[in-house]
Amino acid sequence: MTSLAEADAPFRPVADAVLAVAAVASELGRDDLAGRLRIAVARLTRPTTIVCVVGEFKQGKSSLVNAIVGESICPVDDDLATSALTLLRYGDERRVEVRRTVGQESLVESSSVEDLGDWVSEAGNPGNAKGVERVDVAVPNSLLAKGIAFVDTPGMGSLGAGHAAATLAFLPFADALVFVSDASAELSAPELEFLQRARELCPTVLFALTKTDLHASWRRVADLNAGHLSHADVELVPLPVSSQLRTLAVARSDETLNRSSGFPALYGELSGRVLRPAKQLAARRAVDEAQAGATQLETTLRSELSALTDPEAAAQTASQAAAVAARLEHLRGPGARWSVLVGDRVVDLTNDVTFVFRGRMRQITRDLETEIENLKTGKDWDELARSLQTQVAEAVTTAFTAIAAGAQSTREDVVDLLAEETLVLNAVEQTGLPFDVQSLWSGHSLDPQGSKAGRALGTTLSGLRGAQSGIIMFGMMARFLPAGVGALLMTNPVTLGLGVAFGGMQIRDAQSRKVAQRRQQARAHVRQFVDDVQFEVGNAMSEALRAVQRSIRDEFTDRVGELQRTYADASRQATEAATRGADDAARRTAEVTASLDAIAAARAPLAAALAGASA
Amino acid sequence: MSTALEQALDLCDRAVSLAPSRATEIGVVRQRAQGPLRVALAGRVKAGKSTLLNALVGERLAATDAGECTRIVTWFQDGSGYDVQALLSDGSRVAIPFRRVDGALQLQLDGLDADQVTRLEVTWPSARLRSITLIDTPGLASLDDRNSLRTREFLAMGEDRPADADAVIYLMRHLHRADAEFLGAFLDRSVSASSPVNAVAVLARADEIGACRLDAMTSAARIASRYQADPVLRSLCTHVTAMAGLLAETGLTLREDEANALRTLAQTPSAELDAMLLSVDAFCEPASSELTVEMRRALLERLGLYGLRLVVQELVAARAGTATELSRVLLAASGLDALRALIDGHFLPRAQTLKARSALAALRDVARSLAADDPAGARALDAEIERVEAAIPDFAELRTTHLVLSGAVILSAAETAEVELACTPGATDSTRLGIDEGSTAEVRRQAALLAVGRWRTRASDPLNDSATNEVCETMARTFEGIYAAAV
Repeated sequence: MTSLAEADAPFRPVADAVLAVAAVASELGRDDLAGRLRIAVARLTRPTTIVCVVGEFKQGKSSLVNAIVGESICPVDDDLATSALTLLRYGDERRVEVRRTVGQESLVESSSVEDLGDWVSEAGNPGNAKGVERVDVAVPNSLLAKGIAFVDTPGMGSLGAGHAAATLAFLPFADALVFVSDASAELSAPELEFLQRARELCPTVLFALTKTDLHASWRRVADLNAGHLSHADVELVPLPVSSQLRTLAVARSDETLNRSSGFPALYGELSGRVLRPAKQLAARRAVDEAQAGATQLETTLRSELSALTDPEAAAQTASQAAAVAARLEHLRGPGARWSVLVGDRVVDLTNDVTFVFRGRMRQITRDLETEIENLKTGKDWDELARSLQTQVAEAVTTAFTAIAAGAQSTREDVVDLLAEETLVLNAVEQTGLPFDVQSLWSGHSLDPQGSKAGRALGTTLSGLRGAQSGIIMFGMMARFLPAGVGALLMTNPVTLGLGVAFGGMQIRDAQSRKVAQRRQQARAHVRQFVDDVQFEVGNAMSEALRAVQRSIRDEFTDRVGELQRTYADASRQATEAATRGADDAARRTAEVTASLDAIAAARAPLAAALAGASA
Repeated sequence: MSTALEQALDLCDRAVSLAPSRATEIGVVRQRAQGPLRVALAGRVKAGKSTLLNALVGERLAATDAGECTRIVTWFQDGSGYDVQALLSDGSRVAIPFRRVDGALQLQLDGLDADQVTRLEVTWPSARLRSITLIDTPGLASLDDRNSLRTREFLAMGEDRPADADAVIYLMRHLHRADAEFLGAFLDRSVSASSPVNAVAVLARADEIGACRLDAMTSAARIASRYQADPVLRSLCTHVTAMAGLLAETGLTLREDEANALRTLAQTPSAELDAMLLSVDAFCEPASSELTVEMRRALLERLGLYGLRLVVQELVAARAGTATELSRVLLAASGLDALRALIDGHFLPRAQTLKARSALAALRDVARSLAADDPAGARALDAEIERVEAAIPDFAELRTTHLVLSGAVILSAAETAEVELACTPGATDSTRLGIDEGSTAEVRRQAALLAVGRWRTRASDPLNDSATNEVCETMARTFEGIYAAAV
């Protein structure tokens, strides 16, 4: 755990520097700016990164999660596997919320850590019959407080539940995934296949080789796995760990045992490859916010100062600032170009996404109907049902990533548009009000280095991953999938009602009339399934799109509001300055100069701190 | 009435006169029907197939390793002398040099291209191999596709020909979807009328499933019984048993020097000992015991962490001391007895029927190949096979057992139990009727008569589908046979 604490060190100066700017902002009565900076610092202290723990069933995923956080939370059993998703994150008090769908209804129920097994394990919830979409567990745990949330997934390959497609659907929204395979045997073909597929969706991958306490030849297995991985061009080194030893080490506070558990290395990777990049991004953002905030504070003060020192120009300064404020007031309103742009973009996005999704679903239905004609046995039917699940899951994931990518691109266009608008503003004011408008927005572009050209899906996803809304995205995905589809995707195809039509029958044995009848039934099942998915996903999509529009609008309205206030203040203070008596003006000049010095002092360490954190 | 196997052999003789051009093939079919039952050990990579094979034979014949290690299908059969041969894909045979190191058989396969070898045949004088020939297969779901392909080819999956194995012991660690698919495919292919009665599933490496805790085997047994009740698995095989192959293998081959080392180990102070048994790495920590690290590594390899914990517990409690006593402890914990009982009670009684059915399937294959150059002969042979198949009640009973146990035909619990009893090969009529042993002929007759009536009534239910009708009819005929025998 030490390495995680050390990982915080380089970011502390950044947090302190940003808080110093926030303090100055508070003092100057700009609590709106101060509040924003404090939120940025909170995100830096605890970024919400999501780590998905994936792998085949019974490899020790739940044990690993428990051992990482040092508490027994996820149910562990020799026999029964995990059957539903668990999202484990930090909370001030223990809280368990079960989200599930019963019939057409979505329920959120309270539960407790002790009763978790009733929802997420094959014992209490075989084949996820209870329709659990996700269980949210919040615990006041020191490791989770660092800003990692873990997702314990149902393993792949079990008969009861757990389907690779459903797991894969979540990966685009994870910051990292921990692939789990135990030391009893080298990687199998399906495992490697999954790993390759998963890596395309989430490039940060850790490989935990579990149960090293039990298997004498774990070193051999680790070598063999490393060989298989390099042969498959997967650059990944197995991290040997023993959850059992780690748990014992925690119970006994035994440092030697902890070292032999292999967990320090795992923490090192989590800290270096998951937390650090997230924190660096958060640090960059916090510093950008602080710089922009400081600039705004300075704008007001400088305009006042110039009015104080040159009462002649005061009227002009005041009127110019007022003009800018008025222009900004217009920018806030619904008639502003950017606001219209957001509306248009969301409509376009809705059309695009819906069109592509419907087309894909239609294609899936057609393909399956052709395949149904060629079915030979009941087993082919299971295969078909599974492929239906996979294809639908992919279509849903694509739709959702398209929405997320569209939201990001809309956001970037709004930034560009606002930059143009504010260039006009820059031209308006020439009195030397120091104002770099561009800097206000650049910090909010999700990927500062990213150009529009770099909007391939890959970069978009990495941008998404860095977004603060990681958890929200993930949550949406979790709700989005299971509400309509996820529960279906995660269940055994036989229970889909699809298997019933052909269950156990040998088509060649049966009479042709019966076969035709069953094919008819099967087609009806597929259409019903696709219809259900379309209905549910359609609803969730419009909801997601509305949320996108709302969030972009709110964000930029707030921003412009802040800016508008800055200029309104500048105008008012310039006017006031002109009416002050000489003594009063001298006193005020000293105050303003002192404030400007304070801002400069608070601002000075920002760059160095950021450089230290980025090193 | 002659047995199914006798009728099948008889059919082989007649087949030669019907299809003289295929005399050699038919000769092979006949020879095989007379030979021991062929049982294949199959499963995913590293399920512990070779270890289990060694345990069943009681000698370390199949090579085992931490990595994937069985790459060629290997037959282990009884014989008068020690001999290892490779059967190449061009049909020729090559003798393979071999030696034994520390009791383990080592084959020198240098210069042999695995792709050229159809199979290896290890002939080894062993009482255990007299009634069954064991076949070790490469793991399924291997990263090396060719290895898995060899097993699939051998078990004749995906090809339209009968399998070389009469029965399969399927090893798995947890029931993976791939396991279910494999078992399903094997059933479809291997048996003309399909049946799970020739498959037994083994929860292998059971000691590791329970994290090598001392109660691991109890836990594994519980899992096995849950699987046995699982409808999916139930339709694929009738029995699931938990087994720690390594313990059985070592229990049967434990050497005195190993026992000595274990005794030394047990004398380590208990705090030290507890720390050593925490993990495999702690066990090999140089300072913690006077045993050499090499020795400890060897012990770990032979016993696993669970085996060590178990043996140490028994030694410390002074419940065992000598190599013989330790062997007994290991064997008792391993679950080998239960598996052997399954083979003896499940495969062997059906062996005759299974072999007869395999022979019929093989003859049908001959008829199919004959159709091209001698259509008339092929038709005659087919008709003859059909006639014999219909005349042998065992086949119908086997199929009935399958239909019921696999869940294709759903009966009440009482009816299912009745079917299982009545279709037990080799059982006495009283057992099959479910009445007291030694009941008089009169009692048996009455019971059989009642049963016939019951199944006939059941068969006349207009809501039955054809499979249910088939089961009811077969049952009625079976009880008629018992009735006739008691008159």
